[in-house]
Amino acid sequence: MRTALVDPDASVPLDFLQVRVRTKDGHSLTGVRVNEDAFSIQVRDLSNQFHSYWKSELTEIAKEPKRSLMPSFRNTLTPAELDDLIAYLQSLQGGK
Amino acid sequence: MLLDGQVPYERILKAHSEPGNWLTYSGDYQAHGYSALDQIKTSNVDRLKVAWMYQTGVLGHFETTPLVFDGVMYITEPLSGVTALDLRTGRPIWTYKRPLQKGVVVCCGLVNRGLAALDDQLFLGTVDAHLVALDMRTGRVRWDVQVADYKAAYSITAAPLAVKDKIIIGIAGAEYGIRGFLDAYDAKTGARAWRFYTVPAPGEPGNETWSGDSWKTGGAPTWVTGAYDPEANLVYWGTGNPSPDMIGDERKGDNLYSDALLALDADTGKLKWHFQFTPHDTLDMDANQVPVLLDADFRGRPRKLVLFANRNGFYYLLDRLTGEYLVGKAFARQNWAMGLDQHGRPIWNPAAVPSFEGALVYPDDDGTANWFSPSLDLKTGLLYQNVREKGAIQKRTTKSLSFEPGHLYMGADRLPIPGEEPWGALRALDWKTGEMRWEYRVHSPPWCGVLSTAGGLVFSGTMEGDFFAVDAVSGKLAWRIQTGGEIWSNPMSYMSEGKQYIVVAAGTALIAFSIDR
Repeated sequence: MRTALVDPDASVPLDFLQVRVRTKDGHSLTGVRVNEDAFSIQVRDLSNQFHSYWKSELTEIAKEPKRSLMPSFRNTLTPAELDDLIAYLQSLQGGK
Repeated sequence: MLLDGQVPYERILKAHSEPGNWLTYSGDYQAHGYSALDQIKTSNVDRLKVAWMYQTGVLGHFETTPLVFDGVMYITEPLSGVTALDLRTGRPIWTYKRPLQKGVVVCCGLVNRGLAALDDQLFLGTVDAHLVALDMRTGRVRWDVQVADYKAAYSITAAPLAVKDKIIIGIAGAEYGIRGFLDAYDAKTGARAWRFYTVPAPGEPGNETWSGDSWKTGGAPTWVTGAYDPEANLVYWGTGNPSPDMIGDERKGDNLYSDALLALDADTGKLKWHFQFTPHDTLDMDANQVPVLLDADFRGRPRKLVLFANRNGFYYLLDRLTGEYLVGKAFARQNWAMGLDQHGRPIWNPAAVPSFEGALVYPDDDGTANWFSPSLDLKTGLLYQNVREKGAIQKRTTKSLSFEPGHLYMGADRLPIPGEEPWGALRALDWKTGEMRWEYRVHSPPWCGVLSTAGGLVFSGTMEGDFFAVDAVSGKLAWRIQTGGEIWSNPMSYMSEGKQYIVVAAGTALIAFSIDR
């Protein structure tokens, strides 16, 4: 959890893969991949809008596995504040 | 419609003469997995539509390859169920359900890949390691024999193979340290005719390739249906990993006959020859793939051959009368072998052995190929094979592993390679050389087989539910449909009332496609 907060690029789950697509008419979109198969890709953009493309409509699909859309908190929270945040987030997971 | 099918051995011998039916797991004894039907072809496949669907209502990987003859389709379902379907409507005629025994242990799902048919009976291997004979007309049990003890983690997932008067069946469980074998049973009575242990005991040839008592839990399972050469009277069957899968310290030696192709006398089970693809395997490279038999001219003379696209990433061509190694070629990314020597023996890469630090290995332990069937089209000269392009970091978990019956006996964890997304492809390989002629890439590593047809098409599926056809010569996409369910099966084709159908299991549904006329 600490790594995810201070270095979100370190390990991005495939469910949150950042992709950039370009359509044949030159339109470009960056977002999180929702689904992909051999023929299509669906992307949720930064304003949470859903876009669906046939791959045949695209000229580019760039995948950035080491890029997270989450900002790093490394320089915005003190170590003590980070500890507090982690403790709070863990409390949300419920008892074991 | 009269439900009075009969499938004598002589009929299976000539399966190619009735392309509208599918009489045995791989279509014929040579295991080409090919349909000679050509009503659906490149010029009209764009009109292919759903004709009927059957929903099993049973969750789990649906890995069946149907049998079809005399107006009826016979399928298996997860949890070792069997259903007979009316070919005209797709409606069920009868269903056999088997109660799941408590304590059944399987590595990879309570699956079943299909049936054998002989005379008026169907034969089913079950996850609790029984072989069951069912009356073809009613689904009632004719006999039911225990093949092995499921409490010791033996199970059966493969389709049996009917040969002459016998039913040949393989066993699974090498993730749990079983001692593997291949059995043959009298089709009428269920009495065992022979058993070939794939891990030899002391005094038997090959036992010297196991240190100490490691042979007792040696694995080498036989969980995919083989092929049969009636002229040579030989059954060809692949064997799987030695146990424990991922660490070999306590089983020093080549570990015969794990990860091998065996040629056995069909009447006696006696071993004629073996070829071991991956000696002393520590990467789980089961050679449980379908061996494809071919009589053809090769290097200037007629030969009797066997083609084998292996889980370890290499394609092999062998003489099927002697086991002589002829061709070996990597057909996918692999780094565990630095090459094959002149006998086809791999030269191991010492860095590709599971270690405590983690070893980067291609392919991962699910392999390049797996149980799903290839298809050989003699018109194009191509072997069509689905391929998994997926590596892993294999991290050893223990210095030594103690065996406990019914418990996993593996020795390493598989970790994903950071930042690397695996993928898959349908590849067309020149059967003479293993060279790739074309590939059709898919998003994730597939778990389904392929079907090539005389209509010039190759059918395949994806884990995202796409079922599609490509041109057999060029590999260009010709048709596709989204089925909504993962495809874990081999497609097949049949004819009914003058119309050709293509069938695949997707999700929990069996779907039949045809062209409206």
